[in-house]
Amino acid sequence: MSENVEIERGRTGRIFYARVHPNEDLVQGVEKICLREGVERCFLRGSLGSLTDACVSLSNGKIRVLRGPAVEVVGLAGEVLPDEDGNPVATLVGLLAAPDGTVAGGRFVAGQNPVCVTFEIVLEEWLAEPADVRLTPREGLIAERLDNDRLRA
Amino acid sequence: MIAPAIPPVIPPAPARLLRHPGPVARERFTVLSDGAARSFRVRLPEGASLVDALVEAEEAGAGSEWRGSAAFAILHGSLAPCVYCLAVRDPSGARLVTYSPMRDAGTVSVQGGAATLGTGLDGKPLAHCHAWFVDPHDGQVAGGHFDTAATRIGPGGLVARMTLLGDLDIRQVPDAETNHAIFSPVGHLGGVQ
Repeated sequence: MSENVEIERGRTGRIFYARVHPNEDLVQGVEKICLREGVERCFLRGSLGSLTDACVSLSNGKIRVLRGPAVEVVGLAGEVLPDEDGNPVATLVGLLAAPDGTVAGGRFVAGQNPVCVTFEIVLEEWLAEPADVRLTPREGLIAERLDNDRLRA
Repeated sequence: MIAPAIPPVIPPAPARLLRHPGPVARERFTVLSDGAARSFRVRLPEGASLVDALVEAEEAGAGSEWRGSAAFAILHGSLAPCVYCLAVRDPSGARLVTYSPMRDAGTVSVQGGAATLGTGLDGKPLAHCHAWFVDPHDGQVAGGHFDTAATRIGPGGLVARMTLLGDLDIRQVPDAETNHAIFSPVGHLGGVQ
C-alpha cells in the first residue's frame, strides 16, 4: 500500500429535501442548493429523478451519453466538497436506465445533465471535526489534530 | 478536505433543454431543511407491497402512526414480483414524457436505488421509487421506476437506510409546467414554515 487510509471524524447536521425543476443541471443544481443553504459539506441520501439526456464520464476519461427524452436515474451516490476557493463541488456517480432499457453508469458531468420532469435530492450535511486522522495498516490509528495555533507557533 | 480537480470534459453534443407544455415556474429549486432527521437501518419483510413496507418502516422508526416523510437508500434484497416501467415520450402530447407500460420482471435481486415516502394527492401514503436489479436467471441488469403497490418484497426481505425527514411535509402536488403530479416539500407538519 503506497498511501494511508484517509479517515475523517464528523457528525451529521441538517437534512435537506430539494425538488429540482426541469432543465436545471443535476450536478450544478446540487452545488447551487449548497450555496443557497450555506452547506459546505454533505452526502447525498436517497435521491432519484429523471434527466432529459444523461452524460457520464468513465474511468478511462471517455464519456457516455444516453438520450431521453427521459433517462431514469436508478442509482445515485455522491458528496459535496469545497474547492480551494470554498466553492461547492459535487461529485455524483450513478446508474441510468434509458427509454429502451439500456443501463449505463458513471460520473455525472457538470452542466450536461438537465433534469427532465423532476429530481428529488436529499442532502445530509456533514460537519467534519477539525482533525486529520490517518489510519495506517502497521501503526494503527494515528490521530493528528491540526491545531492551527500550534502550527503557526 | 478539498475537492479534487476535475479534468475537463468535452461532450459530443450539447445537452438539450426541453420545453414542457405549461408555464415555466419561477422557482427552480424548492428546498426545505430540518435539524431533527434520524436515520435507521431497516429490513422490510417478505410479502408486503413495497409502499406498505415503507410505511410500516416509517411508523416503526417514528414510533407512531404514519404521518410524515422519509427518504430511503435501498441497499440490497429481493423483490417478487418486481413491477417497473421506464419513461418514454408521451404520444398524446399532454406532457413531454410519460411512463411506459409496466413490466413484470418476476423475482429479482435489488442492488441499489432510492425511494421517497410522502403524501399523495388523495392524502394517502405515496412512494416514489427508482432502483436497479439483476435478473437471477441470466444476470441481466435493469432498472426503472417502480409500481410500489404491485411490487412486493421478496424472499430474504429488502434492506435499506431510512432517513426520517424530521417534520418535513413532502406532498404530491400538481405541476402546471410538466403536467405531472410531483413530490414537493410544502412545509413542516407542525405548521412551522
